[in-house]
Amino acid sequence: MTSFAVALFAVAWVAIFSQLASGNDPVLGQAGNGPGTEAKAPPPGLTDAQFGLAVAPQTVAPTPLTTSQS
Amino acid sequence: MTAIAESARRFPCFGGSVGVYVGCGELDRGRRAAARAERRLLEIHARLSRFLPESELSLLNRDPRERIPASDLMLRFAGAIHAAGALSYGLVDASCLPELIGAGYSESIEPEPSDLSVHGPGPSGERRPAGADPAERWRAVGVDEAERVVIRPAGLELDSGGIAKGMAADLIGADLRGFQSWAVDCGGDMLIGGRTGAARQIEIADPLGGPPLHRLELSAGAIATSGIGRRSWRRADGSLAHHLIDPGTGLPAFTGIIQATALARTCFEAEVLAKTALLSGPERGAEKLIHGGLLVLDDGSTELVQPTRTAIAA
Repeated sequence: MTSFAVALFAVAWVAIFSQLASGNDPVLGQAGNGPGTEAKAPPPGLTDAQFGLAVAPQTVAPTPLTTSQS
Repeated sequence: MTAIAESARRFPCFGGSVGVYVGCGELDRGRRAAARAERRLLEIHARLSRFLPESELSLLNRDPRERIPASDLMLRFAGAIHAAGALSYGLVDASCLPELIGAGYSESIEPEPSDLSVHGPGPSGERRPAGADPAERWRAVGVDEAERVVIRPAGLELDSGGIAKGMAADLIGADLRGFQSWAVDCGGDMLIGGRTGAARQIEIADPLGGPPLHRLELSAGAIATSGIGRRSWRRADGSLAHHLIDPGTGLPAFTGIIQATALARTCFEAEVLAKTALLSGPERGAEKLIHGGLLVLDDGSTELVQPTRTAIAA
């Protein structure tokens, strides 16, 4: 293998590993779907609340009120 | 943990300021519920105001018949009139409309703070507990549920006043059950609740304009305040008058109590208890506050009847 071929091979592997490290499988698509599954992004318009997943625990703060003559 | 604010609506209604508060994790749902409550409250006002000539109440008051076909709301209101009279032994008497008009309350009066001298004793310095009208006209107001008619002697006119506000708060509260937190404030008559049982801070205003007289936390139940310092006016002879009529004399009541706040299970009950306590006078007023409350006397002193629970909902 010539030194040019070695350099080209190394550049290619660096490129492939950088893709894998960033979470994108250059063959399967986006990370997290496992081998053989299709990449699925949440449909636009759906929110965490609609999935029943709380972004953070929430409580309601009751508004203070005043009773007076009317 | 983050806390989200309630969806709030505040608007003119019942001759004063009315508020609806709904706490819900889904903000849009809370906003829609509050807007729906506002529409319903305005509809109740439009039906039960005696100051609107075409309201159902005005039409009923002008109707010469003794049995008058009525809406569900009017049937409920007529039943509430009878219940208020019975609960208060005749002190909260919605049939005192001619006396109220005779005292000068013929047009809607905005509940602005009035001349402070109205907080004193009566025109001639008297203080006396109110009494029931021996005629007990309120007993003649009835409902025929099957025929869907209100029954009352021809010519007997009815005033909606605080009874309608308390009843309206209870109706709206029934719609809001299930939300995390909610409150209906019909001009100081409030019904409070919420699935989470979170405590809401309530302050009782000083009728003399000072800082709040008392602060309590309520997670469920009702609180109402009645007094003689607002909706008051000066008559042609210079004497002061107000809207709380002593059914026994047919004149504005000067009992020695200028403001009463009552806790109760429903807003209708709180409204009736507050008025009953005020009209009963200082000697017997506190015993009328069976769920707790606060009295303000005309010398500026207060008497607190401590509530035993923070949740008094039925």
